[in-house]
Amino acid sequence: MACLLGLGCNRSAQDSGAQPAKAPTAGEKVVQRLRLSGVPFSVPLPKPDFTLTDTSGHPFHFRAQTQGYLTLLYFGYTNCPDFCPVQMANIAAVLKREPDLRPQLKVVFVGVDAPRDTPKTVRAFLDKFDPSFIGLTGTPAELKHAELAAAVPPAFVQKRFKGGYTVSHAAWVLLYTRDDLSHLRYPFGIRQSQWAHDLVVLAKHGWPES
Amino acid sequence: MAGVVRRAAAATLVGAAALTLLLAGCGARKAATVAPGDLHVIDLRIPAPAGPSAALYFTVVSHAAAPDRLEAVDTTIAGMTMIHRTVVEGDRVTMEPVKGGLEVPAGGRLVLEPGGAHVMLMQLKRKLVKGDRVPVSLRFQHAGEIQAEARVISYADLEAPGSGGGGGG
Repeated sequence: MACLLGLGCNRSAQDSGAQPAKAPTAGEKVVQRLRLSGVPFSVPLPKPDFTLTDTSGHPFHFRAQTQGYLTLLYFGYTNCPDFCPVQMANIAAVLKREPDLRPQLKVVFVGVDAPRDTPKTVRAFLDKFDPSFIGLTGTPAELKHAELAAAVPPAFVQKRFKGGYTVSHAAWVLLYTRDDLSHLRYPFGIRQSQWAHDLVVLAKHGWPES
Repeated sequence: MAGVVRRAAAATLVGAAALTLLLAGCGARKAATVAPGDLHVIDLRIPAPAGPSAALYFTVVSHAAAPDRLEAVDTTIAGMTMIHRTVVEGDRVTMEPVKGGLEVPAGGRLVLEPGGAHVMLMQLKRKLVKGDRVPVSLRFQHAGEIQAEARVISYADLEAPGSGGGGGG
């Protein structure tokens, strides 16, 4: 709110300038150097080992089947008309623009709304964006295990109303580089040009040693 | 006689003062209301849905001196509509039904956009394809009903400036 007032903004800028600067973490240095839009973890997360069911009904071992790939992992639900489809659409738009990314990138969407996110529903949802996107479903217990393994907050039914309900779920897209670690996560609001920049740079170089 | 005249004049003065007050009151009340022409609804967009429900986004531009409130939005293509807000708290995101509508600030804008507020369209009655036009009816507390038309676009086009053809915000 202070930033609505010009004075407030200037003052806070001066204040932060006057404080001793915190040494940037290794992740922050890479983000600055490569001008990435992802938000770095202070400690990278290992690629989680969970098994769910893909949209053709086969088990999908996340860690093994995405090993060595640049991987995007998102936990959403198909009844979501705002957050989830916008994220998927923006990533799909980048793949159309940067087809060279295709062989190096796996995009995994986990449908966290077990009763409504059937393999068929998830497939139909993802096909609206990109048929190459991998869709996973599971029982509530399997989904919770996957969410905890990926260190994201487990989804739950938030609000029931006549005719439906909404689901509270993880807000970030996790990105794993080919070292099978997640150094970065992406909030809502990342534009297609930012996705394109980050994915092209990380597909080309992997996660650099800082 | 003179007294009667004076009293009559005084009565007239009092009457005039009362009338002035009344008019002033009316004027004040008039300034505090919002006429339908004071609100413009622009940039109405529905991304062609990927799941069973769709979102409607738009901007309300107010030229009124008083605030108004968007109470409900209806469209013939949906069996049910709700105003929702997307709320990010920590690492979670949630959609919450908005109770009591959304304020349109006096002389300002109410913006419904991805990641913020939207109208959730449920029980869709037909398939929505990019390029379709959808009639929308918006109900405001003061301005009453306003009819408008939404364009069906793609989710990927949402971030394009002026994707609704109304100049964006």
